[in-house]
Amino acid sequence: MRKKLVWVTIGIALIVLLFIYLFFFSKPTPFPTQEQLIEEMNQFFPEARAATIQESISIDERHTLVPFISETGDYGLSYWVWQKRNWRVDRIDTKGGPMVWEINSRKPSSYYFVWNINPNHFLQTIDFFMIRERGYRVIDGKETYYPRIQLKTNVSLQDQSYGVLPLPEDWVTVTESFLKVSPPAQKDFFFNQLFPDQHLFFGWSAYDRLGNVSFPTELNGNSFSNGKLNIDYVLILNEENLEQP
Amino acid sequence: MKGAIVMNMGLYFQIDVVEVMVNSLTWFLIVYFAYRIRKKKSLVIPMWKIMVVVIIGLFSFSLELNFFETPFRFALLPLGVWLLYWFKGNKERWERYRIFAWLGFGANLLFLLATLISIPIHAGLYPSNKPDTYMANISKAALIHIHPSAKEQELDKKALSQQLSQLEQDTVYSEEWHQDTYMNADLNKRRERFPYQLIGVASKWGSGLSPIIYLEEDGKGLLISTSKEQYYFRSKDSIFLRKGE
Repeated sequence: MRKKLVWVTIGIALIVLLFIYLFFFSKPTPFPTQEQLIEEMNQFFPEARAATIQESISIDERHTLVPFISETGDYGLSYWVWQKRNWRVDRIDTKGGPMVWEINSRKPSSYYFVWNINPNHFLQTIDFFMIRERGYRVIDGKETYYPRIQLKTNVSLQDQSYGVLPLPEDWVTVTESFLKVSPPAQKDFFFNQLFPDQHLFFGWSAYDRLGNVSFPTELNGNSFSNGKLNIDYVLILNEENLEQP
Repeated sequence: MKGAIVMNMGLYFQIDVVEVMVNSLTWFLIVYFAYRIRKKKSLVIPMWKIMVVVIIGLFSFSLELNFFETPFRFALLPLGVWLLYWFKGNKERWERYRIFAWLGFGANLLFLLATLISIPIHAGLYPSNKPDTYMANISKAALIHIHPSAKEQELDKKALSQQLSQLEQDTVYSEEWHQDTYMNADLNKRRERFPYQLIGVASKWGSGLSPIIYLEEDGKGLLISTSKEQYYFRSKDSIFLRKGE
């Protein structure tokens, strides 16, 4: 009797484990069709009024970026994540000004610039920046100097209105060194403070066909998010915000 | 409580051997005390039950204060002991377990002492004014340009390893460096004094340090940033690869 009970218990435990495994760790199913995507997006955020899917860009096995065009002709972004055995949309930006999608906040190699910019703005190229402002601090006679960090990379909007770009290798290294050096008081991950103390931030500036700086004013749309994603804003930078050698 | 913090750090930070050793010793002492009390009172409670009570007893409302750039936790309210009292069951059971709950709370003091002891040990093993504390292995060292004013320079590892023993510590002239940068009247033309980051450098094993190391524009100054403090070292010769070599 006793033996039987043990076997039944083990059996139940195994089945529960199997279900947990299937539920959380199963391989994603094929990505939904365009009709399904549009339907789910408009359910999630009716204001998006998604009409056309431009592409489904798989970032990794469980994360997909879907740039779309709305009924009103806006170019937007939707962020899809495989979770609990379903592809779900976690965030929609009605206008796709650049953002940084941190797939895993602790791993800068999983940070991606994402954008979808209306071709009617006639932008030719975008410069992306990662910046830490120069600064200094004197506390109790202890002096600290923070060199300015200004890293730049560049993408073209000529062929496509949208895109996904992982952080360049050097940026990843710099960001990792920031994460590693964070002061003991901020080791607590509950606060999820990515760049404590002297923080790094992302910026961009855009150029038209003639190479002049150009910033469409109507790039700020609305965003709707269920708060599950880590998204960094990318600030618009003018000439005055940047340093030249 | 403390153990959890150490595990968190392991994911991210280099192992601080001193901290790990001192904490292990503290846990050993706690188990030893529990064992002695059990023996002295000739209690027949299994050890694992005692340890559960001790660990719950550790749980406290505490105040974290920084001294010597190190966080110290002062346990104030014995939340764990209260929790155990709440669920004590009958009176005799509480009589048997009470001392172990308080041992848990008292262990907070042991951890406080452990932190205090670890400071001089760490300072002795890994002197903060010695460059090789931060640069014990430079075989994978490389430079990253972190500012547009950086020149196309490459690192001369041989020169770096030769200079390492002869580096001289100097003051971090944070305010002056900062002001020097802005002496230039031209608004955007700026040179960063430390436009390079030295990467791929391992600090001394077991120090738990992962500093950010900046290199000065002349290739002769190293600014080392830890979570606690900055150190500035100067070399006689540049550690850049000389042109044409």
